[in-house]
Amino acid sequence: MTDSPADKLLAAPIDLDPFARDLRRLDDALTRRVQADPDNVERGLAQLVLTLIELLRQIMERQALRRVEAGGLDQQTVERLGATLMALEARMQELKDVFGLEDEDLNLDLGPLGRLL
Amino acid sequence: MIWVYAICDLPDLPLPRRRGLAQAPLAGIPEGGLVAVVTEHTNPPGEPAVDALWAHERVVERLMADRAVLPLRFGTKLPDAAAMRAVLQARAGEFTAMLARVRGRVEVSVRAIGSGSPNGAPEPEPAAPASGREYLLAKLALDQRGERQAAALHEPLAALAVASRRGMPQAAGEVLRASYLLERADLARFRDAVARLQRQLPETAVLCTGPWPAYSFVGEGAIA
Repeated sequence: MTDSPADKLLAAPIDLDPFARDLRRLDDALTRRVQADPDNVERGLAQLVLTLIELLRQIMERQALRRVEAGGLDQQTVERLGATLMALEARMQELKDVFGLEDEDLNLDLGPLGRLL
Repeated sequence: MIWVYAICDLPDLPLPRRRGLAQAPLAGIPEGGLVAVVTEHTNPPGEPAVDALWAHERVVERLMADRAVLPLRFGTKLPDAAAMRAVLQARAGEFTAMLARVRGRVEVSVRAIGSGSPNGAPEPEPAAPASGREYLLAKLALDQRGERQAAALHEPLAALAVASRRGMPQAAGEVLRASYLLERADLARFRDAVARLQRQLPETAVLCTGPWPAYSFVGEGAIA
């Protein structure tokens, strides 16, 4: 019978910090809104657009990894896929820098599929 | 409006006198061999605040003490008792089968986060890949390493459980996020196994919580 959340710890590492970080993010998720005031509208929009691009980039990368893992791709195709994805990742990093966005800003909660990043 | 905590067996067993959200007394809505445990409210009581979550959780756990329970997610609401009875009637077979699956069992949750290296220092940035092929192979190696770490934890734990479910990682560095359905009597054995694995894998921080109602093992179908 539970009287406090602490009763629920069956085994825990000495350092709970990595798990606590997760809770803070949960907090953010409850309060999070796209920043759409006039001063911020550009950054808010960039965040939205980059989040979608990042989602697509990750899907393409997953797909490419599946295909590499399964074998059957010739060397040239693997090289071309890898080079394209690497260039995309670098370009995303530049755009994030331009708009002052962190990885966490581009995260999406995909429900049962987990988090994007 | 009614707030639903759980669907239980033993409809004739008196309900505990514990109160639910907003201090409302628990009421049972029986239908066939099932009973839904609810509280009645004029205004929806449940903001997802910590206190309310625990109030909901305590009701479900108190019910678990003397009957089989299908725990419902915080926030399950129906317009009235008639709507509740209709759900119980329409899905009686499904609920009865799920109750048989969780009877006498509890859920334990395990999460593991890799700390990179044993002393907690961040891992060195890998060198920039020289070619597209190298880039993909490095990503693949990272994936496979994560999967090996997850399996080293998950497989011995799953062997102690009646059933297990792995979720998708939701945080950076997360190695494993999984739920295990255990016979209540196996709880201590499971906890010992977690402690042993934690000693074997010092570079991974393992958090194990429970015992919980079997939230992850009662199907995805929402009742409302």
